[in-house]
Amino acid sequence: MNHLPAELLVQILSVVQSDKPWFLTHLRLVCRAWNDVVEGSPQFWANVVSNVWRVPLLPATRQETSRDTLVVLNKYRDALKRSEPYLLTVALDLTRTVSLDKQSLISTLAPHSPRLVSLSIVLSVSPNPIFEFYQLLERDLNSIEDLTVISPAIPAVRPRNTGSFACRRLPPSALPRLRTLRIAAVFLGLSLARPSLKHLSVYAPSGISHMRLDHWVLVICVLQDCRSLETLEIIEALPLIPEPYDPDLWSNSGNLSTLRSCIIKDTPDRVARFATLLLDAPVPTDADLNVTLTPPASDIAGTIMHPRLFSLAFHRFLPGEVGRVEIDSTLRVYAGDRKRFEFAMAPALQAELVRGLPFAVLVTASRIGPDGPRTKKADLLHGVFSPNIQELRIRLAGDPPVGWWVTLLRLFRHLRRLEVRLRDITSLVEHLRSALESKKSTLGAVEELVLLGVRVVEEDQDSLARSFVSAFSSCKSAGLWAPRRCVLRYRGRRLPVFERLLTMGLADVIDDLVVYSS
Amino acid sequence: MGDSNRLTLVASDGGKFVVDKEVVQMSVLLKNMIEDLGETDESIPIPNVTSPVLTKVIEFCENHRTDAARTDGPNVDGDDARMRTAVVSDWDRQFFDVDQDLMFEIIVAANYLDIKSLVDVGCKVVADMIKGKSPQEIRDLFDIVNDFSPEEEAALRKENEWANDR
Repeated sequence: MNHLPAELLVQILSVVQSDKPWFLTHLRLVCRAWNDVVEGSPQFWANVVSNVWRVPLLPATRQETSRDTLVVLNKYRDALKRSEPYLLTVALDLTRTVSLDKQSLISTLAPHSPRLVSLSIVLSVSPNPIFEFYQLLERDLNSIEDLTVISPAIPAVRPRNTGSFACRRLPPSALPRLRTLRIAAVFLGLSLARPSLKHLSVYAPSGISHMRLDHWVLVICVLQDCRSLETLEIIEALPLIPEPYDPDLWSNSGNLSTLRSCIIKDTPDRVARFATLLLDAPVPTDADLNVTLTPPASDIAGTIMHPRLFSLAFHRFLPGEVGRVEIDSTLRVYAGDRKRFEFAMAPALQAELVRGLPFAVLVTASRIGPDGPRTKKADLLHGVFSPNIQELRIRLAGDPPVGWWVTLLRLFRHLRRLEVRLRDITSLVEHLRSALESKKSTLGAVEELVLLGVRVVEEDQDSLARSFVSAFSSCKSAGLWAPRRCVLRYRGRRLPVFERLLTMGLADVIDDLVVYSS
Repeated sequence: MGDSNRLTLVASDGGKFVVDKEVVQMSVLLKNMIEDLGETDESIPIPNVTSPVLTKVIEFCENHRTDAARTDGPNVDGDDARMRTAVVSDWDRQFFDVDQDLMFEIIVAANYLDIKSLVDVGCKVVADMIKGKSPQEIRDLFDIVNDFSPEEEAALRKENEWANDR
């Protein structure tokens, strides 16, 4: 350490972190060489500034607190001055602001605004810092690329009460290089929506999830102003009031045309509404969408089955493109091999899915009518499932309920490959028998059937195999359906009798039959 | 005729290291030398770096060879007015889990060879060792001699008094 070149000592001391940045000046007490760095290196002071500055919390009288605050402000001013000409990464925590006649960390920082490249700021419960923050934004922040704003949610700063925050606009030339904005605050001011913005993340204020933006109009207005947006993340921060959504709010059809990734996490009703909004934007077909539903307070089945959400998922297929859908704890929609949409379900919603009927509504509601995605009413159960989905993989947590196969296969009429992970194949056998009775098979297009995780009880293996063979053979004889290839993977140890009964019984029915134990 | 994708580095103590050119080019110094030399079988002497240190430097470069193509971010855009920062991975921390002499020799060698990522990571590791320590604890840790006179130190302490406990 004693023989390090000066430039390395400067670099080391310029990346030391401290939760009390003013404390870093103690490093000068180590030796003369270190004192020289502290005295003469702007790089060292740029690092002092980049640590989080806050008013120290002292168990003192108000007068003493004010005096200490003043000392810290003076040191902050000194640190900023000494850091010249370095560009600045600044972090301020204003949750413990002490009122000192027009003096604050923000006002101290303001003269150095042209050097700011990154600002992370935690605003206090008092409105003053918010005003100061907006005043700072109106300065010549020509270098700033990265902005993080965290505000505790308090009624005083909600848009309804302080509309000037939410609807305030900056001149078009302000924040010309802002690329990344992270905001955890109830106000998503229009002033923060910049044409240069590429990455926008909006989070609910920590721990206060009910404090949200009031109006969808504001969300749309903000997004409309972000013409270069590539990634959008909204986590439990979609607007509160389910006001009617008017697609004509999108005045520019090119909005969100550069979006590559969109991550949304919220309750189903809000996600559904937002999905509608995205559909009307519209989002590019190759953008990745990742949607996570959080359990709503009540009425799961009523809210999750919003038709527009699922029309979004399926509308993303281009005509004629081979698609694949996977449903387990998530719903994933693929175009070719490329993942286009992922829809993660909260456990409570997954439970609803397995019950069957909600699943049927869920998928059926995805139908898109001839007049496009703005169809108001889904034609339940009897509509033509227009997207060309040829492969479906489903993992069922429980045994499929009565009627499940009928519902499923009516919806996916173009399936060529069906893979189901299920315990009991009796329901499939029953479905084939009923198809025989009605002389109508819904499995007509399926060429490859894969059944995984099937439970075969040793005592019942004979009857299960015979009923399986009988159902498939009868269907083929009646000219209804038989797959070219069928894979059946059953659980537990190998059952040679079961395997032999199936392979012999279906030898003339299925061209390629694979039965094996996992 | 040797492998044109590999070359030999010779440490100050004569130790020879055959290394992929792609790995070596993480060093701006060596990259420029290779470009000046063109296709050659000659080995490149590294007079200021001993074999144990060069071994570690090559280990770092081989582990980070896929990072080398990165040209984005403030560290490598040549903008001197920006702060240089490094993200230290678990691997990096383990890499620097060596005795102090070797640690500083690696950083000095990286500085000489102009391997920015290794300098940045090394400096950050040392900075993290300093974090939260008093001046005396820092002196003890790095065996630094306090070369202030008692009067000078007292004056500095008085000047810095304001920061205590705030």
